[in-house]
Amino acid sequence: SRRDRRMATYQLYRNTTVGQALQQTLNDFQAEDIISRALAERVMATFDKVINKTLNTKAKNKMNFKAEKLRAYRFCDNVWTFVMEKVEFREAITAPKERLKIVACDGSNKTIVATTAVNA
Amino acid sequence: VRMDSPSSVFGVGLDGDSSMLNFEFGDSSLLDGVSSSSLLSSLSSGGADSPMGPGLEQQSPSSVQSPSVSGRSTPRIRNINPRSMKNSGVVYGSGLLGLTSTSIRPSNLEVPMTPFHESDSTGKFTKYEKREQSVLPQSAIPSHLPPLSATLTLDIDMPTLQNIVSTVNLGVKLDLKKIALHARNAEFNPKRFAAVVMRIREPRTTALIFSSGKMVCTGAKSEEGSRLAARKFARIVQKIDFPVTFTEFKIQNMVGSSDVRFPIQLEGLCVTHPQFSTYEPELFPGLIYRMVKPRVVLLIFVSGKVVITGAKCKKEIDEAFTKIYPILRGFKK
Repeated sequence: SRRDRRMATYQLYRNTTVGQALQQTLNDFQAEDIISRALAERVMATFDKVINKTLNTKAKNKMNFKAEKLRAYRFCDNVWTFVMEKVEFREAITAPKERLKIVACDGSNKTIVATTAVNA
Repeated sequence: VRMDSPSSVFGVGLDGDSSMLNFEFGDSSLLDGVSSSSLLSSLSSGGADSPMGPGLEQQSPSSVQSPSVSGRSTPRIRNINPRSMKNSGVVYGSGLLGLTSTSIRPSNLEVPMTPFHESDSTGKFTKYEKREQSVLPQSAIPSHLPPLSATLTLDIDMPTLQNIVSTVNLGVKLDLKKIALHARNAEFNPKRFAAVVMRIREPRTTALIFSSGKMVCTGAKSEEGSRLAARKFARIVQKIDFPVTFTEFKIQNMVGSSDVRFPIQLEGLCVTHPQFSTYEPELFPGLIYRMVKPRVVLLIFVSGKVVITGAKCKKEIDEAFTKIYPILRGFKK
């Protein structure tokens, strides 16, 4: 078979609104036998690649935040995990968060699959 | 000279007796942690008829005399700073002269000493002294000779420890990835450095943990703190189910800093101590003084700040500072 030249990117963004919507649609198509499972998987992989690339290059807005305390940090497998307390975002759209966990994956060149950021 | 006098009593009841004056130098081991230079001048002036007069200048701060020498009636006793106690070369001068003074002075600085309370009347004290005079035998040969290097009781603060680096062997091979995943406040980037970097808040320290089981602990401000921190790190690793043992703990380096509080002529110092000094103002603004004994390196700056590093124990840092201080005084701007 043809050698797969594509590199796997983070499947981090599948659990976003857009990613979930896409996944749902593909599942619906699969249920109605419109597309095969392999094709659905291929679509998701393309989604991963495109969203990673777009967020790295096209998304320019920044978000500032300040927290009272950094409870814990970790760096392993090129993934940073931070747990902070009393986090305030500069835009102050939301109320200050009591506890915030950030999982940050390397945006440069990746082969690792990682979990998404959660609001603990 | 009696060396085994009860060291709990300080010879402070000096009532200006002329016989005492000769031995004032060694009599009072009263170390005034906050003593002013007036005490030193009283020392020098009072020692006019002392055979140690000329020698007095060199080691003048060796014992801070109670002000009673200059004629005050009540001895002034301050809190004894254990640190400055160590620097007292009190016994030295008196011993050499084979003084017949009773002088109650500490022969062994390791023995904890309590200050004689001011509340007790001086009369009571002198009585004790007089008793001592008659009872105890006089000997010209001191039974205990303090180290010959004249140590100074300094009016200024001794160096404060800034950093201590220590190593310990945990005795078992470690899976660094497991440690990085389970422990908090850990970084592990095998591409850059083959060790887990872990930090704890109390004492504020950082540890480098290697897969061989060896660990380096840095950032502590005291020897005890370094050992405690290393133990805490070992405990963290132990909690991740590794059969850890705490062996071969050793302090590898200690860094201290202090301030002599006067500007220094580095050029002059460099010229007179060429074999020890390195001074390249274009390279580094401080003079690098490599002391031979104790084997430490001092960074001396024009402002008067001194950094001492390379020591294996606090004693070496203090010793280095007391040795460099008179030299620096000579190069005061």
